[in-house]
Amino acid sequence: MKALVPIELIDGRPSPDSLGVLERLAGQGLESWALVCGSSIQEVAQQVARHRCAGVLIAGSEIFATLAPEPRAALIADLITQRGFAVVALATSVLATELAAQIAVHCDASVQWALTAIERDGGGLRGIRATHGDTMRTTATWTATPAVALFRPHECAPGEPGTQAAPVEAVAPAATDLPERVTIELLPGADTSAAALDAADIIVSGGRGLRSPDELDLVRDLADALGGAVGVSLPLVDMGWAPRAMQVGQTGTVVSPRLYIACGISGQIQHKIGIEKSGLIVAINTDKDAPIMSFCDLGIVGDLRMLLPKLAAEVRAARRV
Amino acid sequence: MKIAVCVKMMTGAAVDAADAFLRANRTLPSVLPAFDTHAVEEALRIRERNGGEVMLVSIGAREGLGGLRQALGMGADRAVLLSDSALTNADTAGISRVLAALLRQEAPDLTLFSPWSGDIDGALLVAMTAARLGLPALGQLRSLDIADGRASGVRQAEVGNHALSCPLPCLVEVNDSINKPRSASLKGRAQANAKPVRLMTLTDLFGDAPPVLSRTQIIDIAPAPVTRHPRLVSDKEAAAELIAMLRSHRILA
Repeated sequence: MKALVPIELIDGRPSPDSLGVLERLAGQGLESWALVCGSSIQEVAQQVARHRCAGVLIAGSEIFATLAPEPRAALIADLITQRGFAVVALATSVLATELAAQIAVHCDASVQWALTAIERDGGGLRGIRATHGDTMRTTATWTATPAVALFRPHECAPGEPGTQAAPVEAVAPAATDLPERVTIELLPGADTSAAALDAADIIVSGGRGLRSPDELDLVRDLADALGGAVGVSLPLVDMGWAPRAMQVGQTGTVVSPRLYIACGISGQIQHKIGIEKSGLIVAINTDKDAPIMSFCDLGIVGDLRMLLPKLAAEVRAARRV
Repeated sequence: MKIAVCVKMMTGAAVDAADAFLRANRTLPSVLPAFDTHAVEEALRIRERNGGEVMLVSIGAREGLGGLRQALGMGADRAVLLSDSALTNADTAGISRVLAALLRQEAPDLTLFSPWSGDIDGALLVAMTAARLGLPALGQLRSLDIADGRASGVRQAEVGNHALSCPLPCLVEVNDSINKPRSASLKGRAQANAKPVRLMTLTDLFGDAPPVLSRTQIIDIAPAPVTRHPRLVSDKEAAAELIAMLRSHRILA
């Protein structure tokens, strides 16, 4: 079964999520081809070729300078017809979701989203989706081809690049007469703190359990002691206590640090989805029945105003030893 | 200006599956997306500035009427509710076919969507519906400006922010940070019951040629695996437990 994996580029580099999708498909024995679109992408293609794929298709053209999905969707629709791809698999991102939607409509495809896994099922394929607020796993088949598969963000971890490179083949961009109706510009001075959260090894976050913006300093102090970054939950952003860039969660930044400490965060689903890829999750909450107490590794029942300074001091002491 | 707001598109296999589980006496949280008012609020503000009409479009069970009355109470002018038992098996792509047909009939200048929290992927639904209509879509906006026949706004992407713009007519998904929704006044609520609500079925929209409602087939629904085994400790044990845990995971030396 042949699959096509459009590789999303972030700052000119292949996104780890996209490379992770290649790894997942290879794990299921699919013949997957990566697709890289852009200009001057030879080097990127060589990088991608060292991941587990049958080959890398590159479409080098200035028409891909836009972030808008239209030219990519048109090319992918062509490739599906010409080369018989049965599956198009992507990792969810703001842009990938729109691309998947356009492919699906162009090709009258069958679509599954929020996938945590795909599995071979005899000659077919089935997807496992996170549903019902992430409390359930729904297994479903695609009943038409092509099958469009959207994995959840951060669901697929990339493999280590190998020493052998898969072949790289140039394809011609589709002749598209689609006018560019949506202009998308990347704003300068991008939120670097969002990127900082994305890359952070340790994150300490504060939530509604804080009584004033000043109490974020307690959170920051523990983060400093651990050498980590500071995050917040959605309500603090809504109250204007912190910029959106600091928000951890489904609508903010989906994080995957080695250690996540949630201070005064109840653990609503939108926050849960944002943190569940973390290594260790520690929750500090006065309410032992808060949802977060059911999906953490260590739940500390207590008042964060007492606990945070104490924990920061103990961590500093432990690091000095 | 004619503004449509798509609300409470609870439907499909998720609801069906939930019913099955409820019948089996297992507990499931509600799968119905919370009725969300940010898009309604944004539509009312645009109408206040530009004049025109705000209509609500909903696909789902007749029980959704209560939510629609609430939005009418906020100030929307009228509503269309499409209910059909055939929709219980619809997937996101199927819903987008129905929605596209509804919107083609109503031909609004601007169609707004609320942020999503159900088992239908909102961003996917908006983009698919727009693609079927051949209209541009702006997804996940945290600000929206309507001027000179164009819609523009900013959204947060994985890296940095995007500034987006497109001509009307178009579809726009706004997220929950875009505004603070008003609550319905007493007078508004009283008027809501008198406002027109058109109840439709798939037959009203498609005659005897309904669209494909699903290209996916659910074969199993099971509880999500438990991945963590939480240990709860009191504040007195907290420091020692935390340090020990960080050491055993080599986060602290």
